[in-house]
Amino acid sequence: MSSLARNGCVSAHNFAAMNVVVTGIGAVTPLGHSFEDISASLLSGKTAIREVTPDRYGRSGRHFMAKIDEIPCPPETLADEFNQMDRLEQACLSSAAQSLVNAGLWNNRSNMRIGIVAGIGGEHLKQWEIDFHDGGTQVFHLTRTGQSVVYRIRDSMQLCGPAVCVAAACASSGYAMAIARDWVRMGWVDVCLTGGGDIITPVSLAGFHNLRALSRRDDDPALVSRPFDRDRDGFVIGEGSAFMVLESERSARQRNATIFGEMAGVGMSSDASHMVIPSLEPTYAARAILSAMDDAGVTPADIDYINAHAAGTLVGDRAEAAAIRIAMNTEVGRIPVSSTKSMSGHLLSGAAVFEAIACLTAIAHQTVPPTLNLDHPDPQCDVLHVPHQSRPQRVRAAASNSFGFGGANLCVIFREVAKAA
Amino acid sequence: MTFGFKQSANESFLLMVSVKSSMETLSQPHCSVTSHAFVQTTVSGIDLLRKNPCSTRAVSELPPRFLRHSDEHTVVGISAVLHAMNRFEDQTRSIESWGALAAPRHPGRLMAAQTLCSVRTKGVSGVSTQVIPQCLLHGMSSAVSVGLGMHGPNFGIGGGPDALQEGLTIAVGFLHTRIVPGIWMIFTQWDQEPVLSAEDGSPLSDSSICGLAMAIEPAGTQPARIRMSIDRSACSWNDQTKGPHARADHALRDLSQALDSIANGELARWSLSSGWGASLHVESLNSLSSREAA
Repeated sequence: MSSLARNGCVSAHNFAAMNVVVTGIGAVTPLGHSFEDISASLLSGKTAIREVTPDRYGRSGRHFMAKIDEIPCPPETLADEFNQMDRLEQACLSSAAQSLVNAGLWNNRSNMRIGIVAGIGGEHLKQWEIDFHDGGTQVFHLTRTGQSVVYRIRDSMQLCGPAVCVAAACASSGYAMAIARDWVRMGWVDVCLTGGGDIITPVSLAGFHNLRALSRRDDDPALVSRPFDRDRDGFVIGEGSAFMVLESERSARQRNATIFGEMAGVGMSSDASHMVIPSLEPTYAARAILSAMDDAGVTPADIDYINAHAAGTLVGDRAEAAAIRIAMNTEVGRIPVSSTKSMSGHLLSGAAVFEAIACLTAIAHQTVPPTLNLDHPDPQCDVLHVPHQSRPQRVRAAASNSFGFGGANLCVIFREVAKAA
Repeated sequence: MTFGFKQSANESFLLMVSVKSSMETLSQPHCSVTSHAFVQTTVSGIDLLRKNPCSTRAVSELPPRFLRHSDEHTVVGISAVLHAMNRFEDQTRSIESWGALAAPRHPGRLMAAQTLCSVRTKGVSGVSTQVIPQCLLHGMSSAVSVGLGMHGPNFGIGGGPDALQEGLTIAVGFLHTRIVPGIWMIFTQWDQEPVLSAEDGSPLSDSSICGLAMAIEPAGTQPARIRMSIDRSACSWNDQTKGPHARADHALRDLSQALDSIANGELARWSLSSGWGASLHVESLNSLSSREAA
C-alpha cells in the first residue's frame, strides 16, 4: 500500500474474500436503454447532446442538453400506474427492473433477499418543484410525507431486502455502488441493485447555469461538451438512470450468469475545501484513486483505462488530471484516459453508474471509448488522451473517477473476469 | 433554544451489528458511539445558531460566516457535531480522516419554497447559486466535511421520512467495512414541518427542529451497544414488508434519550424496525450480556 493511500485512506477491509461481480445492467439514458446500445454509442463516438425547446425550462435562446425521451414501462407494471409516476421514478424503476431482467433474476426475485441502494441527489426538491408547477402546495405545507423513490421502486418490484438512498452530488451513484458491494460482501443481501438517476428541471438547470457551471456555447450541440480541451467552458447537463445487479462471483458462477466484470475496488475521500469548487490541491482526489487500487489489490501497472469524471469545467478537469498523474505515477503516460461526458452529457446523480457502464464496455469490447471534441488538449490536463475515436487495446482493469460538489471524491475499479472453463 | 444533552465523562457505546441467519451468525461487526449530542431550536432560533452554532467552548472552529447560506438542517446538524466534539474525553484528538454521513429528513424545503416563489416572479434567473450546493441531500455532509476539515468520505442518506432507519443501516455497516478511524452520523428533522407562506416561502409557524450527532468509532471496551439483527425468515415480500416502519416523529428524540441514559450508567434499550426483517437496537452492554447469559 502506498503511504498516501495508507494515510487516511478509505478502502474496504479484506473482511470477506468475496469477489463481487456485475451480472445485470439496465438503463434509461440519452445514449441507449441497454448495455449493448450504450456500448455501441460510446464506441462509435455518438453524441446525445441536442438542442431543446428552451421555454420548457423557463429559458430563451439556444440551449443544449442530453435528454431522455420515452421511458420503457417495466414488466408487470400497469401502463396507467406507470404514467402516474414522475419521470425520475419512471426512469429509476424502468432501469432497475431491466437490470434484474438482464441478470436473469426477474422471475426469481421473490425467493431472494434483494437490496437496493440508489444514488439520487435531488429527489425531494424535484418533487416539490414538479408539484408546484402543477399547481400543488406541497413545498409550502408538507402534509403528505410519502415514501421516497427508492422505497417505491422496491415495493413496485416486490423486493424484500434493504433499501436506501444516498447522495454525494455528482458522485451519488458511485457511493451507492460502494455501499451495495459492501452489503453483498457482508452477506446482508443475496443480490443488490445499485445505481441512480436524475432528471432535468427548470430549477436544476438554472441552479447550475447561475453557478456558471454549464457551457454557454450556443453554436453546435455536437461541439459543446469538450472535456480536457483548451476551449471548454463548462459541462452540458444530461439526465437518465442506470442500475446494475451485484452479486458474489460464486453465486453468479453457480447459476451460470453472464458476468460483465468484477467490481474490484472502491476508494473514497473528501477535499474538505469548498462547497462547490474542486480543490486545487490534488492530493485528496488522488487518495481516492490510490485507495481504490489498494482495495482492488492492483497497481497502476494493472490499470489499462481511466474513465475520467472530467465534465468540461476549467478547474475540475485540471484538478482531476493532476490527481491522475499523482496516482498513476510513472504509468501515467501508458494509461489512456477519456471522458464519456463528451457524448452523454453530465448525468449528475446518474453519472457514476453510467460511467461504470463505460468501463465495463471497455472491458467487454477491449476498446477504449473516446473523448469527443478534444481538438486542442489543455496543456494543464496532461494525460494520455483518446481524442475523437475509440481505441482498441487490451483492457484488464478500468478505473472510473467521480467527483461531486462538496468535495466528494470516489474511484471504482472494475476488473475483467475470466470466463468459466 | 434548548440543548438536550447531558455531560458525561465516561461516554462510549458499542455499536454491534449481528447479521444472523436462522442457522448461524454470518457477521458481527462492532463499533462504538463515543460521543453524542442532541440540539433543538426553532425557526426563530436558527439565526442565532447560524451565527454561533456552539455556545460553549468549541474544540474546532468553523470558518467565519460559514453557515450564512446553509440550510436549517445543516445549521442544527453542525451545531450538534460541535457539541458532541466538546464531549470527547481527549479534546486534542484529530478528526482529519473521519467521514461525515448526514441523514436529514426533508432538507432544503425552506430554500426550495423561497426559490420557487422567486421563480414565479423573476423567472429562473431568481434561482440562487446556493440551491444546488446547500439544499440538496448532500449539503449537510459536505458542510460538515468542509467546515471541520474532514477528508474521509462524506455523503447524505435518506432525505425522506425513513432517514433515521436508512442512516443507521448504513452507519452500522460502514465501520465494519471501511478503513476510517471514525464517522459522524448526523440526523436532523422538524418535529412538525413548518407551514410556509405561498407568497414568499417564509415560515408562518415557529416549528421546532432537532439534530442528533453521533461519533462512531471502532469497537473498544464500551459499556453499551447498538446492534442490528436480521431475521432471515422475513425474506418474503408482502404487505408487512411493504413500506417503511420506522418513521415515528419521536424516534430521534427517543434515541437521544436512550444514549443519554446509557451514558449515565443506566440500563436502557431503544429499538427500531427496518421493515425488511432487520431490527436496530441501542442497548447497554450490561443488558445485552444479561440477556445473552439468560
